[in-house]
Amino acid sequence: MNASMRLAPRPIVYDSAAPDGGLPTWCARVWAARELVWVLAQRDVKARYRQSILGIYWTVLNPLATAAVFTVVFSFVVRVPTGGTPYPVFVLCGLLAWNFFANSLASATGSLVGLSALVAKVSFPREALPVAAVVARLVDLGCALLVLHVVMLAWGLPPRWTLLLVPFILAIEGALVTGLGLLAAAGNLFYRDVGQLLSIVLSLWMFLTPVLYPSELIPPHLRPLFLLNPLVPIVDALRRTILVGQLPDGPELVLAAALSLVTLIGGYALFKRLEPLFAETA
Amino acid sequence: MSERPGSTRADGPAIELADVWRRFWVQHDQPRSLLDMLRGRPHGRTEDEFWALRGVSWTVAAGDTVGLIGANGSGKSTTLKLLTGIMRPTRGRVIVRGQVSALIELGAGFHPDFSGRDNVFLNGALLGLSQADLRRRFAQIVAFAELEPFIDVPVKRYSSGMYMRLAFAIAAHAEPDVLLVDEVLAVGDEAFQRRCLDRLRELKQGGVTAIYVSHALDTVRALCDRVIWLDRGTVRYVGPVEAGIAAYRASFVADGPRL
Repeated sequence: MNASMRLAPRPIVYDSAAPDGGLPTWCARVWAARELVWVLAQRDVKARYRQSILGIYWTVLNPLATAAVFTVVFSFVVRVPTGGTPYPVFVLCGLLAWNFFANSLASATGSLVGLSALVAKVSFPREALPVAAVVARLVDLGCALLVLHVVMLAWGLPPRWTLLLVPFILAIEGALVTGLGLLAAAGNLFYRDVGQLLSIVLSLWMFLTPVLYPSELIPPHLRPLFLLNPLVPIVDALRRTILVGQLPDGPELVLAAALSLVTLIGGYALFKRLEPLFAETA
Repeated sequence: MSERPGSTRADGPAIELADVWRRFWVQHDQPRSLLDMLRGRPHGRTEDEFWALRGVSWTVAAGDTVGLIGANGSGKSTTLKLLTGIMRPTRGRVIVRGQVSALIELGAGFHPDFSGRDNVFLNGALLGLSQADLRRRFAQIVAFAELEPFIDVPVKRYSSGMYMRLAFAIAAHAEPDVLLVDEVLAVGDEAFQRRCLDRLRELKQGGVTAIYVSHALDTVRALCDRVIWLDRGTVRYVGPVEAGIAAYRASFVADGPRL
């Protein structure tokens, strides 16, 4: 054998009695596993469109079809005030944020259970699985953003310069969904009820988030309560920056960012607490 | 043992187990009824504790090759799981110095719908190999598995032999400091098995520390410098291969059948 294959950097000495290094070591671990995350995310995307005729085009068709359904209901049957924005564009923007959240969370939740044979026997950074599930959904998100702009142009709305702020807003949403995904993935390994419960929680959560309606419809005295849901300011900020060309509401978005960061760190900490039990549970 | 250039080995024995105990909870599922659930017994389950390892201590010096032998349920696989770090000891301490690669549950990360080619990169990543290294060694891995004509076929169309050959070829091309092998040499035909043994000997000459778990005592003889015999969670013997195998074999007669 010539040129040797190096293994990815890992702690050189493994000591079962060594204390957990906490957040810095976890971050180093995720960083060291970035290539694995990337390969797993590619696997996710490819696997989703295997044996399908339309393949990747579903990522475009899906949000368009959903938007069409909601447009029929909410602009012809019931009229939702959107402050002058055409409803199809309005709802497509809300769905972009919501679908990324709900689909990422759903695939992260199933990620450890789906590869339980591997989790039970093989040593690899387990957090790579839920994180990759979220990363894989960025493809859909990118497509949705593109589709949205095509539809905007069709309605005579130009792209806004505030689009440049969108990556930051999506980073906040990504932190939120990754934290929840880590927690749900671990929980689902112990009790499959988590996955079942999730679909119920998500359907309720969607109606508590201004996806189909503008956040101005939330009664003002209830708004502080709604702000505990970081998705409220996130969806609001996305609509302002993508559709209207306004800056997001600073204080509300900062609160959402803080809540998301707490969720990410808390979710990861619980994941690491449960990790030693994964192998015998999977 | 000669030190390999660029070795990341730290001081001290490559593997150290100090008074290691490991407990499992064995669940017995019982039929449950709606009435049970209403009575607050949602699981209808009882749990018994089972000690897979009871105060095991041994060390392996860097560069040594050790065979782990023993009957089913003696704690061999549990030991390997403690060494890879996917499980922790209930009591005691496990230390492994150097980068570990495990030939355990080969092909568990394969995606059946993906081609052999895609699975090389996917499985390799799960084993901790970089994509650049995998690209560099790709031809060698495929040649080793003798799968050149089928490398772009989804692995769900592979025979079980082809599947395992590819899995072994990927895992065996890592260059770890510590190699853990669990009963994976019963793969493929005789010619392939010989190539596997050659590859493992090559790693051994390169200075790797290795643990072989096997019921194939001939394989243990062919590869190991020492054996450790585990019996119901305790160490029964540590020492030269021939004497260990003889003692283990003699126990079949002396102890009689179990269960």
